[in-house]
Amino acid sequence: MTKLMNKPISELHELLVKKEITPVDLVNDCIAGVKSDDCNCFEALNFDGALKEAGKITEIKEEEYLKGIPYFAKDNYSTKGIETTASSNILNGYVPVFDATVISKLNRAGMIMVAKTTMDELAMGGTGTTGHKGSTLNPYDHSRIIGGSSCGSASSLALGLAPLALGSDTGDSVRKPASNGGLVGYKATWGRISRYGLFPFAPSLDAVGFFTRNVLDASYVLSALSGHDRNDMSSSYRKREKYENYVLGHKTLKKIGYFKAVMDSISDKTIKDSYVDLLNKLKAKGYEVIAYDYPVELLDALYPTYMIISCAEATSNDANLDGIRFGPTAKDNPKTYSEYMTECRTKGFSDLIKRRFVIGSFSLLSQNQEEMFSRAQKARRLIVDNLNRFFDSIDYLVQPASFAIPKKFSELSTAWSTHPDFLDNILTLGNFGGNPSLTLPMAFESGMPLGINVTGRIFEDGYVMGLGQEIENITGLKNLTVKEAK
Amino acid sequence: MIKVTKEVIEKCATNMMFNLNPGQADLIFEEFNTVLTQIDFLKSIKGVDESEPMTFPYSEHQKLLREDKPAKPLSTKAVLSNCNTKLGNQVKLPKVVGNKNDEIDE
Amino acid sequence: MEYEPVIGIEIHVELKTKSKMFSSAPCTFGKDPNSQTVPLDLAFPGTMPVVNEEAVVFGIRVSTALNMKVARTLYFDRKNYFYPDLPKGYQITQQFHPIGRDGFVEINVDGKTEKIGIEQAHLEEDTAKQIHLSDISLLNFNRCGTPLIEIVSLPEMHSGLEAMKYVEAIREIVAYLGVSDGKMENGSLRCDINVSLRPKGTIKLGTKCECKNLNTIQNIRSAVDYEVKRQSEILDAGGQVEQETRRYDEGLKQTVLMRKKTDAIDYKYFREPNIVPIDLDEGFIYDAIHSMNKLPNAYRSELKADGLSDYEIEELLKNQDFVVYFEDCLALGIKNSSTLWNFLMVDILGYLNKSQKTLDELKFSKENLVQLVNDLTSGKINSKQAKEVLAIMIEEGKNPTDIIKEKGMEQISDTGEVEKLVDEILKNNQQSVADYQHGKDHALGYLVGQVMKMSHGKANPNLSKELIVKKIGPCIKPTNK
Repeated sequence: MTKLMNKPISELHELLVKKEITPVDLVNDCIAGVKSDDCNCFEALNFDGALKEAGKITEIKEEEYLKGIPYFAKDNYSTKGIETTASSNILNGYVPVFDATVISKLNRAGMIMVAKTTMDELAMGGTGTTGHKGSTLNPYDHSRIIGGSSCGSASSLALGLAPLALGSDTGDSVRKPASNGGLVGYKATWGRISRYGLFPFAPSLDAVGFFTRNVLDASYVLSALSGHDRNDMSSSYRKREKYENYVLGHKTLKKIGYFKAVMDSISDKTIKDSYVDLLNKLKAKGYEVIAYDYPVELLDALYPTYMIISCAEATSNDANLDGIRFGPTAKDNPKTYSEYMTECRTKGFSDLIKRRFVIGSFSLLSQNQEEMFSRAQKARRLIVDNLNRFFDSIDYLVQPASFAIPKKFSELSTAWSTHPDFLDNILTLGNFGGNPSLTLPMAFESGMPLGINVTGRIFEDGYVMGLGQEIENITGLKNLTVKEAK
Repeated sequence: MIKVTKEVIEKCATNMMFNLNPGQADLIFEEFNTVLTQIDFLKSIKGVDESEPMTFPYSEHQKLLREDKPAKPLSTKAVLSNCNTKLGNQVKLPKVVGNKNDEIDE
Repeated sequence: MEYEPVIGIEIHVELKTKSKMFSSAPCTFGKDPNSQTVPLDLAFPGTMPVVNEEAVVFGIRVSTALNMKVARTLYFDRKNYFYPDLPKGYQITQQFHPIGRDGFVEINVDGKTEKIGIEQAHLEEDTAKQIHLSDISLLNFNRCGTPLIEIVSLPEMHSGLEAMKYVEAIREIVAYLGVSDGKMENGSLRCDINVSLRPKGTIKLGTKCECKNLNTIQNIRSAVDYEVKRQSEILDAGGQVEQETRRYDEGLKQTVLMRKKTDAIDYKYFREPNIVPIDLDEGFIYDAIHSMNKLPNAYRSELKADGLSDYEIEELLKNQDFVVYFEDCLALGIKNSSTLWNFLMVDILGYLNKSQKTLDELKFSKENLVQLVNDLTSGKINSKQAKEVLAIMIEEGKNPTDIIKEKGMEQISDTGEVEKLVDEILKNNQQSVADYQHGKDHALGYLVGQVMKMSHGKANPNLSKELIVKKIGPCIKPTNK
């Protein structure tokens, strides 16, 4: 239970500037909250380090918006001196010797990292149940999932334990949990924010993302994080912007589109009604709302395309996890290097990860690549070309981030889906095309949050934030945390 | 395409340097049925096999390369700080015999 | 049955950039283990490759020197496999779009020039180093990530000699380009040689065996010759050559089986998703090519035109510093290139070897040396004096003009003056004159010697000889009775 960590950054910032509170106060408050976590949100804790950093801050200027503010980082961000495991046993005890670029940047902006958060193992999951510490619960209903893979970051913010948590988004891993937790979840344009130090799952899809509880906070964070990094060759040289100006200045584009196929497939009444209502309110504000015919077969292709590309890339990215230079050592007296690696990887990876690796590896074999991996990459081309066609004439794709309230743990399966519903996978569009994509709260159903998603053209992150702000004003849903009955 | 059998699955696993727990190969075998059906579905999409495979989300080429200036290396202590199998300042493994395809041990 | 050997060679060249191919760690040699790495070289999670510009420049130069088409866009791919010296579990290489393709190199075999086709050259990274003890292996990651360029020939060589010449040509080129030490002995140039046989006159390739662990240029020839012999014997006996990897044993002078090639590893090549395509603009490529060092064959044709013999040229080319120095001198206006060669490759080289010094440590300038050569050529001093002057130049660094003056060495080349001396000698040596006229030609040498003695070695000996002969007439040998 915290007194301050559920407030927006803007409020905390004011208190800090006025010296009504100190960064040490904030960190202590955050620590108290972390200790009270009952949703299994956290991996390694950095209490001492955080207090030390907080103690060094003597003054916060008006323009230093993020300085002195505590935050959490998903456990797949390399943090120097702090154990980082990607919630996988294969990295138990691994203490990085370098910081991820985003960690360094937040550090330079004066933000204070208090703890690492749980995730689906190696980011390969969407339920928040596969990490080595077990399931992360949805604070709104402990019998339901918060989703994944950025489960701990989402739940901790929904609990009001900090105003910012870093996540990563490869298929929807920030934007779906944000929906399930009543949060703002942002995935930046691919290449806008450096991925150096982010443990890779599928680099052609991975993007840095983060959670806040309102759009303005998110825009400040984006400003602090974006920019070219010479350690990341995929990071863009395009000029950084002050994204908060889009929010403060209400800068948006005017054409909003939705997919007919999506609209027609929504079966949940609350979601449909809130969605239509929101679109109408946007129309009333002067936005053009256009129904678009995106090919349904490409929507149906989203799941297999995503699964094959991501599993295949993952097998290669996780080939460095062998227990030799880091990670738990082999103890069963291996006689060869092969036995050594095999022991570490057999023990270190969960069954689910292994299953995904087998399929991913199979799809890359030279005899199979044409039919499997390459074909998935060709399907991606069609998916993205058609998405770009949408963006040729329309500025935003606005659609629900979830199409049902979060599932109960008892309803889950982690098997490869036999009949994937394209609605569940609609957010992957933003990963295939590298588009900026924002989820924010839209409505509630049975006490569970539901989110709306705004996706824009690549590098139009600012305009996406702008529309996010517009929607936030319409719904009035911001700074939401679960009310604890204690 | 290689036909999927339990042996092929086990071999994929061994090539990835891990062993499957009992029952997992069966599960994977079942999952493959689903995967292959979905592959067929992808195949049926109009224009798919005529399009170019896409690796990156968008086409923006790089022009600038890294200047050839050496940076300060990590201390040996930092390099080996996470290594639990070492001898002196080198990483230690059971004797490596049987060379991979294209590099001779020196 | 007559067989035709078919040989293809893959050469890995270690590039001597200051930092690694994809990481900024320093490329060094002989440092303490695991002290020359940054996180990427150890494949710590979250690290990413960033391409080294100089390695690309070197790649462009190598490709150009080997007459290849240079790619305008660079793509990199992952070659996936597990091995302790490969920390990422994949090597970043260029499987599908090498930086150079479709080139050739010229080799000289028994006086004839042959063209050996080169399929491609691509950039990749080196692995870590392993040391094998009795029951453990140790890993040192200092070398891991060093830039390599792999040059793949077409299977167009047909003998151990050609194979050796090919590797020597490549080695010489990369050394002259300054992109690599190119030393087989220290591993900065490594060859894998594929040898197969086919009945003479046929086209279909036979089963090939791969030979590795070749540490010297000579071993290449021996290994290939042995392998050809070994495979011939198998085929003659009606057997089949099996696909194998063999290593050359220097002691036995044989190739020895390392392993049979049973299952080829599937490397699951796919595009490296962390490196977006890199466009090389024309200016960049132009600059890389036009700042290239001169290549050995260019030196060969130029020096031949300058009048040097093949032997002289090859000796000079053994050391790039020397050939550059030589050409610099030529450019300053040398009147006799052979004389220059002699001074450089006999006297100066001898001195440098003995004193363990290098060319840039010489105390005199190129202008000085040129001056000396020209003074000798013009007859200002004679060859004995020139050697003396050179020795002083080497020891003290004075310029030749000063030395000649100080030592009063200037040859008397004025015809009138020499004639005076000659007249004097002839007057006083009537017997020798007579001897010469009656067929004793050694008397001429004696007379010239007397002129030299009288002039304290300063008279121009050639001029003296000329004048003597003019005055006393021909040397008529008596006919035999």
